This record gives sequence, C-alpha cells and structure tokens, in this order.
Amino acid sequence: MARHRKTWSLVAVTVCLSIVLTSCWDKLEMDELALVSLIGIDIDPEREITTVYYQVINPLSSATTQGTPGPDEAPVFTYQAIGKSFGEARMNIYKSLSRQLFVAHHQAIIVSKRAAKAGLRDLVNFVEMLPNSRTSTPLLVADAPLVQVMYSFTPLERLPSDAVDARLDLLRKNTLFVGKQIELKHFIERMERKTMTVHPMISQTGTASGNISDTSSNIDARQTNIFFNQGAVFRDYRMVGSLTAQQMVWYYLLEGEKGRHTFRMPIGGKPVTILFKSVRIKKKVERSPEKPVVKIFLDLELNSVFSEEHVPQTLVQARRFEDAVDRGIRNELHSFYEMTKKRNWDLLRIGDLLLKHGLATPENIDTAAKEAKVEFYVHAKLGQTGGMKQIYQ
Amino acid sequence: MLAFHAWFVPLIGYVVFRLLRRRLYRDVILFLCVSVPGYGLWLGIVNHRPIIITEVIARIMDAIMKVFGS
Amino acid sequence: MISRWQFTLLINNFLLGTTLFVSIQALIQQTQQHAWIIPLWNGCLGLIVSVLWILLMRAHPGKTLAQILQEVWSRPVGTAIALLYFFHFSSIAGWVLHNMSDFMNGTIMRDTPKSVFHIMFLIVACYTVAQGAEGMARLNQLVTPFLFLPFWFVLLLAATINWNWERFLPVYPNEGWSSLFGNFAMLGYPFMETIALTMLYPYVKRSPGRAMVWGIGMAAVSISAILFMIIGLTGVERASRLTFPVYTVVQEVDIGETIVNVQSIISVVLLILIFIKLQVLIYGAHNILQQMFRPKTQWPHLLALTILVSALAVSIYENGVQNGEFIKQYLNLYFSFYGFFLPSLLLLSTWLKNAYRRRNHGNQRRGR
Repeated sequence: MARHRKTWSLVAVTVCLSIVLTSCWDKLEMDELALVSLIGIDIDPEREITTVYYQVINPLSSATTQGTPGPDEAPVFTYQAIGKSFGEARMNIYKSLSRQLFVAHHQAIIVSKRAAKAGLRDLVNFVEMLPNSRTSTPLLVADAPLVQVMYSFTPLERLPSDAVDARLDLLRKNTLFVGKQIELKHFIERMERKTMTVHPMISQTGTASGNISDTSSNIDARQTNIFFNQGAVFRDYRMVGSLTAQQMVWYYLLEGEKGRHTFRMPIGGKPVTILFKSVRIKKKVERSPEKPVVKIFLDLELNSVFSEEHVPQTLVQARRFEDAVDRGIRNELHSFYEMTKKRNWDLLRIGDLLLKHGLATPENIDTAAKEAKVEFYVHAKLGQTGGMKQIYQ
Repeated sequence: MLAFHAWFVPLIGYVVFRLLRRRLYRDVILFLCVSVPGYGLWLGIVNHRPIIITEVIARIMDAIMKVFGS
Repeated sequence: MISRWQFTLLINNFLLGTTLFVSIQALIQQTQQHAWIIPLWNGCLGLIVSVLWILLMRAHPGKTLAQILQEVWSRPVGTAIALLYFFHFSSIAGWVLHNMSDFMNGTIMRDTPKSVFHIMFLIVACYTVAQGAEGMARLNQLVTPFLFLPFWFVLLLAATINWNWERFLPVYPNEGWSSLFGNFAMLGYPFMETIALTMLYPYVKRSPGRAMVWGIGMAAVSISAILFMIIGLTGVERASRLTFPVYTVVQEVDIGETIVNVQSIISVVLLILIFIKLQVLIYGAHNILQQMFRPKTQWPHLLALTILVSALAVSIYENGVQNGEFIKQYLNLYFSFYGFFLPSLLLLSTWLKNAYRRRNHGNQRRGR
C-alpha cells in the first residue's frame, strides 16, 4: 500500500473530483430541448391574461440519419402557455411541453395588436431579465388574430419563422417597406429615448391552415400565407396607430435606410414607374431668428429598368426625368411629414435632432419639434438603365 | 448536517493526524486556526443562516465612525 | 523570479478580473455616456497611491508586505496587522468567487450549486500557488494573448454592425465636468486591491515599480476602452439596466446569420481572468501565513485556506442588491484603509525609524 501511495492518492483525488462534474447539474441533451423558432405574445388587458405561443421545431421533420421524413410530418408545433404574467406563462408551458424550452435561436417575436396597444414594457423587462434571451430579433405586430397566425403554415418555407425571416430580408433590400432597425433592442432604445418607432405588421388573407398537407398541396399561395403590408407606430411602449406600406417607404427613406423601391408617378403628364435606390441622407439644422430650420438632403439613384412607359433618350430628357422625380418625391415626403405633424407623431425624429444641436430641451422638445420648419431637398440621378435603350412604341 | 460533518471531520482529522505523527505542532495549530473559523462559517451556511461578512464589516465601520463622531 | 513584463501583465489581468462584469451597470447608471472617463480618472488616483506602495517596497528591498509589517512594527503588532491583511485578501478572494458564481448561475449554468464553482476554482488555484510565483506569472503570460485577442475580436466584430456614435451624445455632461471628477466609483474596487501584488513585488527581477505603474495604467486604459465599446454598442439606456452588459453585447453579435451566439467565448475569457485574480489573492494570503508563522508544510494550510475561502465565498454578501449597497456606501473607505491608510502609516513609521536611527548613529559616531 505504501509503495503504491502515488497511485492510490491519484485514485482518491480523482474520486473526490468527480463531484465537480458540473455537467451533472446543467447538462443539456439535444433531444431534451425544445428549439423555439417563433414566439407569439398576446395580452388580454381586461381579464389580465398573458398568452405566449412557442413554435417549436419538430426534429423529426428534417432529414436525419434514420431516414427522410414523411410528407405529413409537421415541421413545427405551436404550444400555448397561459398565465397572469410572462413569468407565470413561462412556467406554465411545462404543463404541455415535454422538453426544456430553448429560446436562444428564435427568429422573431410576434405581438398581437391588442398587446401592442396595451403596452410592451412588461414584455421588454421580461425578455431582458431572462439570461438566455436575445433582444436582437425582429419585433412584429400581428393584424390578424394571433391564434390564427401562430397556428398556420406558410407555403414554400417549411418553417414559418424562415418565411418571416427571409421575407423581412427581401423586403428591406427590394422594397423599403421594412427597415433594419426592427429588432427588439432597437425598440427598447427608441422607447427609452422617448422617440417613436415603426415595426412591420403581419396580416393574413384566406383560410389559414394548421395542416401541412393542406398548405403544401394548395397551389393558391394567398391561402395560409402571411403578408406584410402595414407598419405599427409605437410611442412610449404602446402602439398608437399604423402606417400604410407606401407611408412606410417614406418613413424608412427618411430614416436613412439603404434599399430600393419601385414607384409609379406622373412624369411629363404620363405615369412612369421608376426604381430608385437611396444613396445618402443628410440632416442639417440651421438656426434662424424665428424658429430653427431643418433641411433634409436626400440623394437617390434612379434605374429605369422598370420604366416600361418611358425611357429618356437624350441628356435633356434625362435631366427632365431626374427633375420630375426630384419634385415628385419631395412632394410625397412633404405630405408624409404633414400627415405625421397632424397626427402629432414625430416620426422624423425632429425633436431628437434639435436636442442634439442644443436647440431644444427635454421639456419643450414636443413644441420645438412642431414649430421647426422642415424642408426637403431631393437629388435624383439616373444611374443604370434597363435592358433596352428604347422602348417599343 | 450529517453529510457536512461526514466530509469535514474526517478531512480535518486526517490532516491533523498526519501532522501530529510528524510532530509538526506549529503546523497543526496554524491549520486549526485557519480551518476552524472556516468550519464556523460553513456551519452557518449549511443551516441556511450564513453570517454575511459585508454586513459585519459595515456594522464595524459604522461603530468606528460613531466613535470618531463623523 | 518573475520578469518585468510578467509582473505588468499580472497586474493588468488582476485589475481587469471581475471589474468587467461587476461595476459596469452601476457606473453607467451614474455617469451615463461619460462612464468611460471614470476608469481613467480613478486609475490616475490609483497610480498615485501605488507610488506610495512603491516607495514603501523600495525602503525595504527584498521584503514582502508581511515581512515589512513585522520589521517596522514589532513582531506581535506586525503579525496582528498581517492577519488583518490575510483576512482582507481571503475575503476579496471569496468576493471574487461569489461574483463568478453569480455570473455563471445567471447566464449559462443555472442549476449548479455555488460551492461547486468555488471549490473547483480554489483547488486549481491552490495547486498553482503551491508551485510558486514563477509558475503563476508564467501561466498568466502564456494565457494573456488567448484572452486579449478573442475578447477584442468578438467586441470589434459586434462593433461592425451595432455601433452607433449617437449613443455618446450629448457631449457635455448634464451636471458639468466637475461631477465626473467627483466620482470615485472605481477607486476602491479595483484599484485599491492591487496592494495584493506587493506580496509578489520582491520577486520581480528588475524595476518592479515601473512594471507596477505600467500595469495599472494599462488596466485603466483597458477598462475605459471596454466601457467605451459597451456604451457604443448597447447604448446607455440598456447598459445601465442590464446585469452583465458585456455578456449581452456579445450575445447579440449576428454576422451574416452564421456567426451567432458567440457569448461562450467571452464567458471563457472572463472565467480565466477571474481565475488569475483569485490565484494572486490566494498566493498573497498563503504567503502571509507562511512568512508569519513559517510552518514546515504547505499543503495542509492550502487545504485550510480552501475551506476558509470557500466558506467566505458563500457568506461574503447576500445578493446583488446588498452587495451594491455595500459597494456604494462603505467600499471605498474600507479598501482605502488597507490600500492607503495602513501603507502610509507603514511608510511614515519607516521614515521616522530611519531618521531616528540616523540621528542615533550620528550621535554615536560623534562619541556621545
């Protein structure tokens, strides 16, 4: 025994150290996890009930080493948790869910319209307090009943969360209906700074179906699909109104989003479809004796690829084309601004701008924003033309 | 409690025993002087009534400040 | 013997240790977008205090703090004060461990009992301390590139998408610049804790004083830069409310939807920094005992230290709220007692003793 002291002490140490195999407490097996891809939040303010929907990915619905799934295997299952607060709902999920919730990879949070109108401060506090939640996922508002949205499949994408995620990306790049700052963390920052923000709204047409074979065998992509065509306007954690898709474009243009948009406007008396890309935006504040003047300079690049009605042939025509676009967009921006002023929404964040330049204080920020004069200067340049230099007439 | 003592007593006892066998009395005293306060603190922890050190320090500092009248 | 650069790195990592996730939220809450100025300012003050320590160590070359205490004040008094320092280092070690287990329990590992973390770290720290100062310093030097590079790489990666200069406006602080310079939130913790490094001072080959100054300076600049990044990446509104802003910043890194959830890298970096801080404190505590009482064995006392510090780790503070209160009200005073008051008394006693001895020797030489 004394001779093998070293061996024995090694054995003793190893046995003693086995207690520190902390994986025993916190180990997570993959097949014990419920991977959440989409989260839905609904708050009933009268009955004070919070409902949280978790769309959990079905691991059997993707190809595994055991074989490929059958066509009827649902890619996601939606679970519902009800409680008087988010914390309670989070606990109550285990009344129906057989695996441990793992929300770290969720791709979007959808909030019902009545929850948005009631106020999202509780949700924000709940998400930020949880150790494993990220706030870097898009926050969307559902115009349709949330139950319908969470319990229906989308065509083409097996996971509805993929449909949402990919759609937002495409919308941002090609249409300007959606911007970049639509994540929960941007929401929190804007609300804390007492400015307003806009988040995309989802709606549905047709009959939503919770049956995957219905969705994947139906040629009509309008059924069971989700649509983005509005924006929810938030102030102080509450939804105060909505913007149409076209108004969202002007909003995001003025936010400085880089993206393309196709727009039909009269040029030389005829309606022409133009594709423009926002290149740069600059906001300048000028102090003048009566009230401050905010000048917004917007640079656009035009592309005539969609202009099947008219393609400028000469430089003079091109200049006229550009000028007409300048004027048209300026008018649109101006009417957008007037609309926001009438509704008392500082969507252009004029107040913030004045605050930064020291022309307003946190107390009189609202009146200063309303009194300021806003001027738009649009500079459009024709960049690319389409496949034809001359259209058939 | 039982589990705590089942770990603690043999551990301390074994070390003390080994040290005494080598007749290192100073070491034994030093060892006991450091581990017995540890034992006292652990007793509090195991009983779910830990002695909160920063609270004690705060109280001592308050008493000293009162003596100096500031 | 440890080299100058090893000592500098050790001081730097010691100071960074738990600062990266304990004091950030409260500091940003107090000073908003100017929080990054505070470590630089308090670091300057810390540097001035460290000059005090350097003078003290130079007056007693080749001696650690514990030995100086015994030499300047008689053996019983010196031992008593050294025991105070022993308790101080052990309790800071317990504090560090509790902060670490709070972090682990709050983020990645929620079910593991606290003491498991504490004892795990302590066993490894005691093993390293038993190898001596050189092993510790060498380990630190080896590990530092693996800490520095991933940490800054991940932060800069986050900065490519999340940065927003507007988070630093307005430039002029609301209460004026004097309010910033009256803020000593970072003085006691961490800059006064560096007295623990005086236990290693005599073992540095050349110019330890300069190494100490460099180390404190580097750490102050690092903490300031990290605070700067946090404000730029998350903004004041969120950073002043999140418990672990560094962790959240890294959690939200999302490059091309491929590089996501990289917070585990940061967790490892933070854990290693905490371990280095713990090591230095355990080394200080252990060596105080060794130099005071000169026992013939080493490992039984390391075991006793493990028991004591693991108990302190659980009992040191109740929860985040009580900890925050103590830090706000008492910490600067408490740490300054050990970091400023006692060393200055020591230095004063040293000078008086030297002056007395010189006068006496002078008298003796004149044959009186």
